[in-house]
Order: sequence, then C-alpha cells, then structure tokens
Amino acid sequence: MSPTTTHDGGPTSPLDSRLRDALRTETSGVDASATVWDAIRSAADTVVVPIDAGGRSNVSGTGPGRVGDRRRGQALLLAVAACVAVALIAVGIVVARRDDGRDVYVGPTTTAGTGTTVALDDPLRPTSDLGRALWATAGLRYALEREQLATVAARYDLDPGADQRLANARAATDAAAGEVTDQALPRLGDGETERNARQVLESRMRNLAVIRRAAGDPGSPDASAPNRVGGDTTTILGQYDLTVEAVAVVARIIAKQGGGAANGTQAQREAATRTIQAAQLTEVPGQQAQLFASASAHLAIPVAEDRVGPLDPDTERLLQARHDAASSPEARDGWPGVDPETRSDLAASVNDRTLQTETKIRRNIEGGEPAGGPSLANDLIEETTGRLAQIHRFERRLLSRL
Amino acid sequence: MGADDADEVLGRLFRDEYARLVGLARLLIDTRAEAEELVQEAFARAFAAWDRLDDPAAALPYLRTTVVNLARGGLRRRATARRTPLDPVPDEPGADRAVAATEAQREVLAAVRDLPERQREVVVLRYLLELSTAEAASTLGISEGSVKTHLHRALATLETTLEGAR
Repeated sequence: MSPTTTHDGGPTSPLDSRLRDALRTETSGVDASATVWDAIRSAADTVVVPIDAGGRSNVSGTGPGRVGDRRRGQALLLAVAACVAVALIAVGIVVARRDDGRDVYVGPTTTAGTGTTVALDDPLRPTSDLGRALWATAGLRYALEREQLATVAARYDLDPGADQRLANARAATDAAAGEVTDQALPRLGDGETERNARQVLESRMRNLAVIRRAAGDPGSPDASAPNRVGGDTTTILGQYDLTVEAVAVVARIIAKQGGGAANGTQAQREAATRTIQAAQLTEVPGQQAQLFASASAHLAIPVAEDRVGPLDPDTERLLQARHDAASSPEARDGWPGVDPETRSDLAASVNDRTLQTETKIRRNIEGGEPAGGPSLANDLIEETTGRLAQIHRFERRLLSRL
Repeated sequence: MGADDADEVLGRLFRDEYARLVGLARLLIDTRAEAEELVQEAFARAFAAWDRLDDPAAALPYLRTTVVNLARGGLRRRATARRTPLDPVPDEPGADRAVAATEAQREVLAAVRDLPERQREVVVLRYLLELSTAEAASTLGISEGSVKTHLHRALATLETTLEGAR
C-alpha cells in the first residue's frame, strides 16, 4: 500500500494521515550512531556454540548452522569463557559483605553452600560517595538477578544444591539491599522524582517478601519437584524484573546527581579506563557488570558536569519540560526525567534471556527430557553469552564517553 | 553470503532503517530504552543468522520479524507480572516524547497503544513502516486476510476512540 492510499486501496482518509503523523513521532531523536553500530558489531562477534547430544562443541565446518573458519578460534575461546561463566553461575555467584565491612565476591560455592572468598581490591572500588552509591545499586541489581535465576533452578530442581543456592542468593540480596539503604538512598534528594523513585524502590523491596512467598520455601520437607513452588513462574520472574528496574532507575537518578564533586576529571577518566580494562580480564558476567558500574561511577561526574554548563535553548526547553512533567500530578510514575541511554546502560536487561531459558527448561521437563542435559547446557550457554553481549554493548557505550 | 556482505547490507539497513525499527519497537513495548536495546539485539541476531539468509533482501524482513517477536516476549512477561496483586511499577514515556509530539498526536499514540496486540502490530507495520498487506502478513506469520481483518477492526476502534476524545 502506498502512503497515499488507505488499507482498502481508496484515497487517504483523515485518520490515515493522523496515524502516519503520530506514529512517525516515535522515530524522532533516534540516533543511528557509529557508536551504536560498533556495539552491535561487537556483540555480533559473540558466537553461541551449540553442544550436541554427546556434549561435543560443534565448532567445525562452514556450512549453514555451523561456525565459519574465520570465527572458529574466537568461537572456541568464547565457548570456554561461556562454560566458565556458566559453571560459576551454576554454583552460585553472590555478593556479600565481610566482617571488616569491605565488599567481596563469594564464589564459587559448593552444594553445601560454603564458598571461597575472592577479594576485589580497593584500587578498583569507587571511593567517592557517588561511586559507592552506584556500586551499591549495581550490587543489588545483580544480587536480584542471581536470586531470580536461583529461583528458576529451585523450582525445577535442576541440581541437588539448588535450594541451598536459593537461600544463599536471598541472603546476598538482603545484604545488598542493606548497602543500598546505607549508601544509595541517602543520596536521593527530596525532589518529586527522587521521592517517587525512593518510594517505588522501597515498595518493591517490601514486595520481595511477597515474591519469595510465591516462589516457595526452599528445602521445605513436603515439597516435591517440579511443582513444589507455588505461583506462576513467569509472574514471579516478572516481579523480579520490576524490582531490578526500580533499582536501575535509582542508580540512574543518583548518577545524574553526581555533578557536585567534580574534581580531577582526567584522573577519573583514567580510573574508568583501568576499571574497564580490569573488567575485560574477568569472565564472570556479574563481576564484569560490577566493574562497569564502577567505571560508570567514575564517568558520572564528567557526564553530569556537562549538564551544568550553558545549554542551548532547545535543551533548556527539554529539561524544563522534563522538570515540569516530573512535578505535575499527571506524572504517574515520577520518572520522566530518566534519560533513555543511561537508563538502558544501567538497566541492561536479561529479561528476555531469562524468560527464554525458563521456557526452554519448562519445555524440556514437560517433554520428558532430563533436566540438566545438553539442551539445558545450551540454554545456559546461550543465556550467558547473551549477558556477555549485553555487557559488551554497555562497555562500548561507556568507552564512547571517555 | 559472507561476513563482508553482512557488514555492508546490515550496515546500510542500520543507517536507513534503525530509526523506523526503533519506532516499531517503541509502539509495541513500554519504553524507548527497551526499544533501542531490542532493535540492537535484532541486528546482532541478524549477524548471527547471516549464513542462514538466502538473499540479502531477506535481511530487512528478518529484522522486522525479530523485532516483533522480541517485543511480544518482553510484553507478555511484563503484562503477566503486572496482573499480580503486587504494587505495580508504572513506566511512562519521558517528557522529551511529550515535547516532540503534539497533544493530538499523543491522543492517537495512546489510542494505538490501547489496541489489542495483533491489531497494534498491524497498524504500526502498515502506517509506520508502510508495508504492503503481503509484507505485513509475512512479518507477523499470518494470512493476508487476517491482516486485513485486524486492520479493519483496528481502524474502526481508532475512529470511535478518537472521535470520542474530541
């Protein structure tokens, strides 16, 4: 159909014109930038390597559905990296707080729930109030995502340690939530947007108890897999998503507020560069993301500084409109000032991946396939690879700000 | 088709179609940020699937279909989550969108977003991407007759809704 005819071939109606005009507004301001393209290309280089029924990686050959020669070495490396990451996820990566108050990563844990502590030393840890606040929100976000995945594992009884890992994950979330309360929430001001964000996050954290009750009590003696967990799994996972989203918005608002202590911009950029380089050396998605959050904390001040300088009239008008919208009674969510790019960075979601994995696991069980077989391994590798790809895109966006 | 072809074809599609694909996604899911992430994911998947595409001309339809399918998955997840008795976390477009669109355009956008999922998809494919009936049917994996039916119902609903808003 041409733009000048209606759906039945007749002349353009007033409604047709209104529809076209209105729908086109949704494409305004979209930037097909070189940075985004580079991020897509980089993500595309992350190859998913399927495992066949015998557990062998299918990385040879150049035919359809196989990995080509050009990417074979890369695919092998990524397969190893993905397997390491999956193994670490599978045994439980949690964020906890040591007795001396410094954050450590605890993992990998055994099925009995004990673990090896791996300290992440201070040179990479943010020392400013802003950095600690962003670090705390990033920690809570990933603790929630770990708990979300652990909930899936416990629901389908994927391995003997699933219940213990879920309990560990819940404890880690509680610890991370405490850090957000100590470090992040005090940085939120008393503005309308900040109040709303605080209320939404606090509400979501209160709801966490409801989510957990719906997901069931791991280790309950009267439970029987796979239906021992009450509630619809998709609903439960969706509730985790919404909580993660609330945390991301809080992080975004805090980052925007970070312009007050602008000193040593060059040093911050160098610190961000070092942090990103360190993140590139780790294979653990959660740890990478923590480091990238740290890098974003270093970068938040220069970014916020840009907001303080002279603004062109259009930008001024946009900011005023955002402020007005945030202050108006019609601002139902209180988040209209959230910048899409930064929000996307901080909230780089694994929602679809998690849902796909959960759906596949459910299909495997309903189809009579044993949980934990090659198909599950593929699912987990695919999910982990997807996480890495998203993190890689996040990294490219951060680098573009240096 | 080789990797160089993928760079060239998908690079051109990125320059020419990225904004419209984000517009498509934006009208199917909740937020602009998610829409951009979703379209970027679609391009990344197109690279991964390049060896399976028989013809460079198949790339754009592949991207459209991937965007629609990814949007459906995310939307269902959110819809299910929000039907629960827990406190909802609403998600509204940023005020920059409010600046860009007039009041009348916002009415139309709101009416489109209130349409049932399939009708909304058809309207966006026809009026934003300006696809033919056959192209829209192929993108959605339904018959041309179904596309016409959904579009007819959608336009009738929009007529009523927008007339009532005046």
